[in-house]
Amino acid sequence: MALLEISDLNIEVVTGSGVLHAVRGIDLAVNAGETLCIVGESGCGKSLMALSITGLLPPVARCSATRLAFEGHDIQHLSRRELEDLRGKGIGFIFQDPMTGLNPTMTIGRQLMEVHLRHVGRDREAAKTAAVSFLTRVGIANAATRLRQYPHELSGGLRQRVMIAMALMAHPRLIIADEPTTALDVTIQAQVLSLLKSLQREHGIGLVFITHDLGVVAAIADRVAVMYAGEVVETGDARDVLADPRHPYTRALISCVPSTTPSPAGVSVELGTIPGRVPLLHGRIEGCAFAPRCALVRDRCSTETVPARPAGAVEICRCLFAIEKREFFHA
Amino acid sequence: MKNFLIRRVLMALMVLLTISFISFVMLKVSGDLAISLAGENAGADYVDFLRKTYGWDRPLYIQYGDWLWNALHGNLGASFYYGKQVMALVAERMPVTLKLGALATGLAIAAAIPMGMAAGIRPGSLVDRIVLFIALLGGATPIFWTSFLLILVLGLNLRWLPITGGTDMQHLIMPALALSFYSMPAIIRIVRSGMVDVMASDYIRTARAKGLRGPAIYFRHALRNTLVPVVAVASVQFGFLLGGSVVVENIFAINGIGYLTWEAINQNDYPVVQASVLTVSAAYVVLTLFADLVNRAIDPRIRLE
Repeated sequence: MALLEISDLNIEVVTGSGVLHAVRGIDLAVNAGETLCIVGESGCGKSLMALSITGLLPPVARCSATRLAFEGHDIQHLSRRELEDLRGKGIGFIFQDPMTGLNPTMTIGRQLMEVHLRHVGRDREAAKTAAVSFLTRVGIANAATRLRQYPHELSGGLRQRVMIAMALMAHPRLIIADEPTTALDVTIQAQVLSLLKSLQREHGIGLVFITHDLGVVAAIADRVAVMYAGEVVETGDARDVLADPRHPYTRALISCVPSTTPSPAGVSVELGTIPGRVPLLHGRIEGCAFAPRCALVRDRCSTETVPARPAGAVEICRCLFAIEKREFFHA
Repeated sequence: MKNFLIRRVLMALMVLLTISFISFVMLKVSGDLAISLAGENAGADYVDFLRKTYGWDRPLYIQYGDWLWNALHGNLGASFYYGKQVMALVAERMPVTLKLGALATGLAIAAAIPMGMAAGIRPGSLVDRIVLFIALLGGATPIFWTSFLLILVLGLNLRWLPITGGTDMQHLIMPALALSFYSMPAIIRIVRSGMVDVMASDYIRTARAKGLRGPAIYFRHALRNTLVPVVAVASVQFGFLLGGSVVVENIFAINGIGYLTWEAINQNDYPVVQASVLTVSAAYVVLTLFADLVNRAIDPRIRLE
């Protein structure tokens, strides 16, 4: 049994200009001790999907799924109180921006301790000891002094470490990290990534890591799900997907990553871009959502329903030509 | 901290000096004091005599300098009307006004914070609409009308509270209620809008993701972050009540500083006016300083500046 199972998840957002189908029929699964990376451009529904897992969607968003199960129990059937018990304790969250994600008028210590006091035990001394030990574990020196400090007294990297420690405080089995390194310097990014990875191994935690950075995917992912316009267009083992992507979108994303290895003399390698933008998701989309931007588009793409099926080493790919066009990609 | 206090006290003194000068000049241009003091049928000789006696024939800056010199020595002069020392008069009247203002502000805050929070947590809800209506009502109701209504209901019909006279707590409840109903709307609105902003912030989402329940989120995480502007507004309201509670002091026959000022203005008792204005301004300055200190305690980021 998977730690987290999502099938046919749909999220609709009510906006001034109508209902937005932000997430459309997503299936995902995460096992204990596994890292699933969710990749995609801004606005493809990654963050909404993550929030929906613990019922944290804003009031304007509605979600429905045939199954949204954590450790075998469907979260949709939980009461509000049961859901509150699950948050932090079963599923920990790390958010994107450590600058705004911590309460500016509470000390780091109080913000860490309250997780322990809420989920683990009412003993304040034990909570304090736990806070110090988790801060130490995420690599913060003189943790006891840090407890008395306020968020604004800490650097961005330190704050993100505090966020990570906070997510770990109640020993969750699953951590959802929504672009936790995006707001950080590149050098700090690497530190935070390796920290997350080692903590995950140590505790056997399932990790859902949301990012738009394929470099991050290559560094930490066991499995990867590529999202486009509210759909998962390609899923599979991270190495397989990165080495031999079957979906033109994944392919295009990879070509957008600048390489640091020098190109052969005289050959200039152009950095890729994807023309156009993520489509607006107001109405029904006929055929493939990526068709208008796809370099390999055919007439059939905009009319036929695209099945999700295995292609090569990739588990699932949503492209009509996932199998046939392989040679064409590598030409 | 020490630097901050020194800076603030110096600033306060500058403010008071400026206010004393402005009020001195404004009193002088408001009319010839000698004529009004002499009375309708007085001869020109008597008016001249009064001018000479009080030194009003001298240039303005000398008169002000004279007043300032005396004031710095603790002598604000004597009232024309009461014949008493102004200092004694103000000291007599100030405490009841302070008590009234503090009670009214306290009541207003105590009522406005829960209402503003309830409204701001669910904007657009029924609770929100009811609270906004109460705020509108408070802002639109003249203070004398509220006072008369309170007298009618609590005093005459129910006979719960004394209507007039006296300076003990019992006598202050009704006027304080009337004043608080007046100063409450501004606080409600600022708590509400602060709450709306804070509830949409990232750290509230973090608090939710930690599994915290409603009360912990609203009181521990959200409330404190909405309080900085509340303290600032409440202290200004308090200051306003000190100088502006004339109507209420009049209705409930409370001999406070507002009533004293009003009488003094009517009687051209200008040493009293000057002293009252100065006292109320000083109270204002102290309140602002107090509000700043409270806000430094509430929000650690303010301590940096």
